[in-house]
Amino acid sequence: MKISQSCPLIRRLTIANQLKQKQKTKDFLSVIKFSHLIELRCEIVDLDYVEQFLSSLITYLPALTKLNVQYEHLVTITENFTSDITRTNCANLKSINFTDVQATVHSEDFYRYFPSLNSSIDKSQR
Amino acid sequence: METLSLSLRLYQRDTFIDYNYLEDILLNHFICLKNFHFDIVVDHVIIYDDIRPCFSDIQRTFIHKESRVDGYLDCANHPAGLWSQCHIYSLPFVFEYMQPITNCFSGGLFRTVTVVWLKDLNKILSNIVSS
Repeated sequence: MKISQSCPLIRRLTIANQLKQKQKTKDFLSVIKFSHLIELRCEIVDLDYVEQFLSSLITYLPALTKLNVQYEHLVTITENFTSDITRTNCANLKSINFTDVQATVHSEDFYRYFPSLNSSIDKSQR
Repeated sequence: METLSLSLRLYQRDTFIDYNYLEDILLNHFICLKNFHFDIVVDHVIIYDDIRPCFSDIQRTFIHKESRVDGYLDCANHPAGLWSQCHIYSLPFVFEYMQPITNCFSGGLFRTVTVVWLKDLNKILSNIVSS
């Protein structure tokens, strides 16, 4: 991935692309690693891009703790918070901002999927 | 002041910004200026002319002294004409924030950059995302 090579110390990435990709790229030679990426903002973006970044088959985001995303996109990509393919990149998320819905009541699967999330919410309320 | 670092994004102009323009409105006011670092995007420029703008023409105005200059010009069709973005920056790049890049971004190594925004001009970002 050009960006990960050009900007090896990238900490925050915002993607704004509403158009669907003509051809999904599935066959990556190796997983693309963003070692320092803390924050990913996929606010106005096609679902394919969210998938490309959160799928551990394509991208590895070991430092990711903050995500801005459409709730519906996240539900789809994570298969209602059950998919193992996106679990790795979501495991350390401390903060998720949904751009399309206000705070909702979440399922047990949701909290199991984002195990780091609760503690940070508790801290912010203290 | 000997060093000026300018990170700038401008919208909806009729023309791009070249070095001569910057010199007129800004740089000539800094008599002692020795180093000029810049990262400039001029966005949503509508070109009505039939002649497609050329990045190297803009780039050429910046090349002087010892500084290196790179960037790209991205164009998309727009009902009113040609919709363009010009991104031009000095090298080595000194900023942490990089002005928004499109799929025409030519790459290189940007060790100082920690914040990036990918956008498109009515086009697909696949070159950036999957190459």
